[in-house]
Amino acid sequence: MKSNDTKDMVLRVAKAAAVPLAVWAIMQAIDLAFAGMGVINNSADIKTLFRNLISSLAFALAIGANLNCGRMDLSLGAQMYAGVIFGGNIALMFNLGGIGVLILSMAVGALCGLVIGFVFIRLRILPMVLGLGMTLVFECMCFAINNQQGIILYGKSGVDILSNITFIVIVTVAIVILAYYMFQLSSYGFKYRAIQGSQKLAADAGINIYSNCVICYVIAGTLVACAGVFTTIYQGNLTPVLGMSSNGKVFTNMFPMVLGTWIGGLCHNREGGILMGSVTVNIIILGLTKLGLSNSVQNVVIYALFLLFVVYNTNRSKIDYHRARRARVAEARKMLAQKAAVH
Amino acid sequence: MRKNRKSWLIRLTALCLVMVLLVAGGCGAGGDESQPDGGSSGGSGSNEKFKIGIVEVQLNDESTNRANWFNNYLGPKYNCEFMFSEACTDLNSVMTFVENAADAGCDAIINYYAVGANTQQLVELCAEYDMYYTENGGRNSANDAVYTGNYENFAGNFMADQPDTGKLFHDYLSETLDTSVPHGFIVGTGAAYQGNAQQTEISANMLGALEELYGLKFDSTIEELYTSSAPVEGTNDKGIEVYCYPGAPSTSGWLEGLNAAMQTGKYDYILMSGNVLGNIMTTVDELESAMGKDFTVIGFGAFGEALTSAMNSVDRFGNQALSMSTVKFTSIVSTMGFSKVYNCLTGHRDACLAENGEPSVLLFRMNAVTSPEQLTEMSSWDTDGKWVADYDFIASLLATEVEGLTDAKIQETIYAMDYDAIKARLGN
Amino acid sequence: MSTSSAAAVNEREPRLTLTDRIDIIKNNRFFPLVFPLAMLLLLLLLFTALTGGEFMKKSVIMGIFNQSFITGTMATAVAFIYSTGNIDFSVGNAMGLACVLGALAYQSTGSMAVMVIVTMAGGVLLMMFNCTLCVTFRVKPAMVAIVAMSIYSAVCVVLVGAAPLGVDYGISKTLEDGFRYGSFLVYFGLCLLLYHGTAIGRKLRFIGGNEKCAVQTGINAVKTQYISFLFAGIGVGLAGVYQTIRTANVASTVGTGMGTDVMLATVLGGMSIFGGTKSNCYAGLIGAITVTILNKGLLMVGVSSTLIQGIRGVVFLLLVYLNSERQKTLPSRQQF
Repeated sequence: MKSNDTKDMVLRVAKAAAVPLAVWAIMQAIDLAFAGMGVINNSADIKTLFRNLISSLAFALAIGANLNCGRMDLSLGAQMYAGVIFGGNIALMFNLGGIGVLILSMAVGALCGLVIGFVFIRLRILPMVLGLGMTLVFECMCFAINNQQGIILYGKSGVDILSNITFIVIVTVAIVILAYYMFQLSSYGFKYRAIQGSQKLAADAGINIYSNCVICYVIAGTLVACAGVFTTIYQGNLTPVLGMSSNGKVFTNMFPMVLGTWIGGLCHNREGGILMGSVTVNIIILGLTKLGLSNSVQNVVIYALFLLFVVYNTNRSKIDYHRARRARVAEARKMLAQKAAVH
Repeated sequence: MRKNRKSWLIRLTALCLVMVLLVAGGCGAGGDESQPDGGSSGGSGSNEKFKIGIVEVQLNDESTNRANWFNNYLGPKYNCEFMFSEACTDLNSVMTFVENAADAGCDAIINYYAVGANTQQLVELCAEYDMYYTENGGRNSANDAVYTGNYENFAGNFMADQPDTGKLFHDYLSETLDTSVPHGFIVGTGAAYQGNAQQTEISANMLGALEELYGLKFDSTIEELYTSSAPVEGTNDKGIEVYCYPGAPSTSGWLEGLNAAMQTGKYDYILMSGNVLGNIMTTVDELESAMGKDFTVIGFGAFGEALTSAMNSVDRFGNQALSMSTVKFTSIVSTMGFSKVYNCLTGHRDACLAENGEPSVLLFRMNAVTSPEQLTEMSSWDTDGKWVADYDFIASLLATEVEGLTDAKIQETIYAMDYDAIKARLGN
Repeated sequence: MSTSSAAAVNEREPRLTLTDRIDIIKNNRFFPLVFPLAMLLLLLLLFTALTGGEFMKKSVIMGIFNQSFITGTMATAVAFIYSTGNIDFSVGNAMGLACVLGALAYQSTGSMAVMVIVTMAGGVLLMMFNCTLCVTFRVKPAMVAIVAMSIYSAVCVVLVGAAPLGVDYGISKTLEDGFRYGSFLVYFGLCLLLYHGTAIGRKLRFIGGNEKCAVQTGINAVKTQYISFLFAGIGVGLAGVYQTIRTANVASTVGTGMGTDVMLATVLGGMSIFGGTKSNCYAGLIGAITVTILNKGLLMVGVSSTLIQGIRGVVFLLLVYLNSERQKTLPSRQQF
């Protein structure tokens, strides 16, 4: 029994890891053939990969948190900006270092999530519409502080830890474990999944769908702020944007979320799946950059792959059906041929 | 029922609050309008009040500084009011702002979103609304027709002196670069491929400086190199490795692409035309560690935290992380735009025309910063209370203040504002 | 409660509460039209008062219409898509790519007529591509929109290059008057007729309300959705033509961010982005005019451009809140 469990677990991990490994092998071959270098060549590449990984992982988990309950929150990008710009600047003001920047950014991100969650349960307007409105408000607020400069982390003392691979790995693992615990093991997660199944039935069963929803927004806000900190340390600064441009962050991180959810289905672990999905997408991006393509062409390739994936994923059952049908027909033909041979 | 009634009362109260907010906004604006107009009595030539619309391409510390100078320093003195746009990213948004500015009573437009192909449309649109127009860009084949087209409302343009900026890069490289040792160059062409005037100028200057320095000839034209939307190698007859890399850090994959190009080991000089120094320094630092290779970074910058951090940091080879940057003084550039439209508004359009009778392009000199000390000194200038373009300088560019002022004289005055002159003016 | 007071209550005739009365008003079939219009008029009056009557000047009113044209046309177009419960915020980028294709055609042929035809055809084809992914391949519309907007904008950058693609300025200005107003009136009239006067509109709304039920009653959902994307495509193409003739050149960034502007206008006009029986095709136009009035008015009274966005967000949320039905549970919709 125990060995079966172990075998099952190994199989699941293998399935989850197979996708990024396969993608890495393909990108490695392409890069070696056309650029004369591999996807990952030195410690700088590893740092880049890990930093981008944690950003897209946290963002993808945040998108998925609300999306699984039928709420598409377009204000996540604006929450990220608000969390990092407000929280980060406060931390820098008090010389709290990199960990302070991370913690305070996440705290402000959580506060933004709390505000949106509270507004949502009070107003009860469609989440996507609410997201648009809140984006306008948050983007405006981010502009109002620090002389429109946003936040600059480059050259600041004590923030080097945010680029330290060990620290990034620890935070990545912590995020996955905490997310897994929150959504799969805790009583909150139990209720969350009940609401995911049917909001009405969950409410009738006595689950407080409102507090659950607000907590979900808080978690999402915390995660995007965490993602924003690692994006900012890589880019050196985070400049506020206007005109709902922050929505782009949500769209960009949709691919790892969707791919991750699919991988999560394979290994029966959604959070682990999203981790693998994020690894996969970041390997593709890193691999493509080695080819020296323009950003536009890279985008076309990435989103074309995304499109092919969702078309396949959506129509998988049809493909399986046709495959089974072909197998049935072939079997029948074989039998007929055998019968004919006998006669 | 009482609860529901209360809920509706809350809704109505909220609506009323928003209306009050709007009204308050309006009243606040009314307050702004009544700014002291001591300027008129303070020796400025016109008593008439003018309203000028300013098109911003991005809202950052530079635009904040500019707004501060226009609103709080220049406006009261010359009885002018200014209206600023949101960050305009395309011609449609600029046109929308121009129309709104006209409806709000603006008499002129100063445009910082300069794309040569848009100039004619905007000049004609301003003409429809009887507004004067100038932009922070140069004269090129795309907008040449505007200069020769006898547009009475076109005041000409203003921009950085391209050859002079090129010379700054050339001089720095020739002083510090040993051409006998092989070097490779990444030239970040930024948004030049989208027609961004400033980044086009600087990219062209950088490539031109390399041509002169090595006496090389690129296989393609310099224009072909900086207008490419894809990274392109600037192959040349001397075999010098030059790689033109377009785009901006906000684009997904841009930093990773730069990282990949640097990893090829072919390049050791990073020349950036956009204000991205704060964005690339982390990548440069990490690659210096990973590859054990010293990269020299040179680029366009703007006074602010990012430039200060980059200039004050020391890399792991003990060198300054940012070797050299070119900077400009916002108030000088703003005075040039203002003088263009103000001279027209006060009936002295002839001061905006070159000797051949066509609208002129005023040129300013960029300044090179090569040390933290120099940067500390320069960045303390051009701030509130210590503007480089003070009232004396502004007055020297206005025909209402200087009798018989000509375009050539204006240009001469602007050119005289170099590093030494400013230093002498501001004390230290 | 005493026996006598209980009897008094029983004797009392049933009376409507305030909420009942408000609900009756809100459920009136004309409320979705009257409320946004009333808000639009309120804003108009407010800014007229704040600007001392300047806001009612002919040039300002014409400016409002001119600036609402492109978003209004797009919002009218996407009403056909939104009605069926599909969300497509890639329409801005689709319009951008259609503009680029049209401008390239102009540069090859030198003919403005060809530019108009290619832009229109581009709009239709791109929306048909989106439709095929949504309807034939059953990919969720929001997912299609995300992919499409990224691909279309990247293709625009690749096709346009450094300098914007110019078209004939003189002809563009000529087309801005007669052609633009005429074609918009024809398109808008046709949309009104089809949407509110024919079976097509009813089918679209029915599918948006309950697709399964609609299919059970014999409606061909696939065919109807293709029709909805076809009309949206015509609107997108037309908006692309308006965009090109307004600016007389096409840059690589054209249409970026317009998808969310259109969504904002539609919602502000009183229509749900998830369609259904209360959908209409004029909401987007009303919303686009409202947004323009708000932007223009705030700018004219001197509110800083940065603050305008924040005020726009608050007003938007408030109007949507007042105009929407408060659900008993939390609103949700599976998008992926």
